[in-house]
Amino acid sequence: MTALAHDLAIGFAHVFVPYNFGMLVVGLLIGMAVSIMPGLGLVLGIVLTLPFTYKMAVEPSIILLTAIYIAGTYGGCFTAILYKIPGEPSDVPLLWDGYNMNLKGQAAKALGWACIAALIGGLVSSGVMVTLAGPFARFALTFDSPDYFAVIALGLATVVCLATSSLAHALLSLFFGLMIATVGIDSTYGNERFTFGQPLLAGGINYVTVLVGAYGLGEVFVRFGRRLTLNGEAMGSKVVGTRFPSWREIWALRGTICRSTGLGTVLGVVPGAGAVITSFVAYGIEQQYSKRDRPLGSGVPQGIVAPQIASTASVAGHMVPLLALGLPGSGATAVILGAFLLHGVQPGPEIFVTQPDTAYAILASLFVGVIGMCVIGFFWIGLVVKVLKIPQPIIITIVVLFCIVGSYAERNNISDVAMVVVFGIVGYLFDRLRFPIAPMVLGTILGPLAETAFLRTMIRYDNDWTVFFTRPISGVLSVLAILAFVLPLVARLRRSRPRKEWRPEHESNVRPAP
Amino acid sequence: MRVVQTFTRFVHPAVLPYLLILSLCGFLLVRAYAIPGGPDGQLGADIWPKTILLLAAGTCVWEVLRNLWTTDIASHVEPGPAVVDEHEPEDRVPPWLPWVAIALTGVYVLLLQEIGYFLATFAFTAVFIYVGNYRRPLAALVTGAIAALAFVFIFMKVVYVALPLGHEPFARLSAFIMELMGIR
Repeated sequence: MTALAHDLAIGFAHVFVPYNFGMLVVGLLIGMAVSIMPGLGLVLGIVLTLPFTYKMAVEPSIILLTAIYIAGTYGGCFTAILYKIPGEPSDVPLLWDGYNMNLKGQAAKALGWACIAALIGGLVSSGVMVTLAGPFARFALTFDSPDYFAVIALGLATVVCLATSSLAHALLSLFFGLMIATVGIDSTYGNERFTFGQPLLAGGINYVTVLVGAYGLGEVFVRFGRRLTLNGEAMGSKVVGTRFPSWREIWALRGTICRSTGLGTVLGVVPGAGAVITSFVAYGIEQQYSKRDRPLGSGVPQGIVAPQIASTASVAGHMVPLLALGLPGSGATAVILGAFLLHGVQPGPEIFVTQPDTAYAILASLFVGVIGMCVIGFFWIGLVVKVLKIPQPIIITIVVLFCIVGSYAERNNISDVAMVVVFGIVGYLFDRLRFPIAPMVLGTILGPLAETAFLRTMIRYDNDWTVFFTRPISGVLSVLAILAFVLPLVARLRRSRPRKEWRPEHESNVRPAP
Repeated sequence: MRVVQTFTRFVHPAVLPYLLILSLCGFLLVRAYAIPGGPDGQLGADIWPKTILLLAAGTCVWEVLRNLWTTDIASHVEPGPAVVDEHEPEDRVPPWLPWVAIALTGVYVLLLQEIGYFLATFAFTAVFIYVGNYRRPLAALVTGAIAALAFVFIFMKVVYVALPLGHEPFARLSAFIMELMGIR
């Protein structure tokens, strides 16, 4: 415990180095800004900021991107509460009660609850996960290549959690990402694969181009398919303040706070369960178990606190497996993993041994980031009103410019830009055909790691694939991976079977007021 | 008639995308067999892509069969990756508009090397904003100029990215802009 406090103290010292702290503040501002603009979102914010980190050291880069991630889970609450516009999908549950509180003239109080919820969820979750990070990493140091493959397989298998409409679509998206990663010269034997004689493909397809294209340009093309608003989204220019709840009011919601914090932290560790899923699940749990005078959806603080706490708490839950195991559990952490790799750093247990200062600086930045975003949030409302008045055509054009110049900046190569446009079209088609993008991105980033671990295992163990099941760690992880893949499949098959209509007694209350 | 019915089932939006992906998997699988195997009986660089392609093909076959069996193709509404426009009528725009945006972006990328970053960005921004329903030509042109100057300044002066200058005579204009901004 003393060692942890010592390491964390050094981490805090690194965070408060002026340049790192500056990047943290910039990240918080970017995260807050992108999350109030519908259609941009925190993942896109991280993707668009990625090119600016090329020339930075790894520490400020990751602090910057992590700050965007944290702030992105909070910034959207302003537009949700004030204008009924969920800046992020994770803000949808919060909107149901937040906007209703606004209609009752309690907008300032609703914003105060959201701020307190983000603060509690972020700090408690960060505390829990930082405490677990060291033991997690020490355990992971005992991993051999079969164990690594099994842990990556678990990450890939749980990608089914990212399946929004169809499991098959999520799987095909994942396989597509894995195939993209095989293009070029393979790292084990040096054979050329799927280059079709094109020098452009010989070096492989850079995952940054996949990220920027599919998330950035793809989203722009999708937005073009809808009518872009010219007068912004602002409905009036009412400016309110933030009014914090009293200690007594906070104490009265202790059950909601404990449940949602625990849920957000635990679900955050589960790959695939991002801020969106955790906020919806927290709201659903609150719907069923909390004691309150009025139902959720009618403008009660529980409906704001539960999803906000859970979505902010999920950030620490995702960052620690990323740092300790090198396993991204969401689109945002996949991009942050990409940033690590761009700087030649492979996240995983070794990072706590080889670069402990960097690892703990990133963990410490979670605490500072949570506090910082709440401080910024207190003064944020005036800017929200102004930003929402920018016509959407201008915003999305600027996004295109960032995507193009960002993809060019890495290698000063126009071919990379062309590739980004290709993946922009892929992103657009994925949206039209309802294929999720996140599995493709995870496949592109994790594919080479999985293949290397697999081939290394096969070489070391004479092609004996049973080693994945006979070693204790890889055995448990492999079984978990199979379960993670099979259980949702079985559940979907069971759901698709016709059955007798049944409505739970409380279902009439389940649908919150939109 | 029976042939037509069978054909209709296979070109239906619930089935066709999977058949196309299946064909692509088949093509890539053939290419994967050209990848050399590993030495001394070891698994080679071909095993990983082959496994992925077989899994993808299996998923497609499963979905094709599932949709053929469970979907009433004649009155098909929901399952499968059918293109569904779920937006409000007033939000709808011509379906070709996203493709115009894609084409404009493609032309922009082609022009970057030819006329340089500043001019290409200025033209692209103005046109893109205009096509994106912002029908104020002067405002679009001014926004284009400001955006181009801002991006040149940020990326060439601050982030040190060597953005394309274009060929003559456009290169001279790019050099002039850089000189104005104190970029060397």
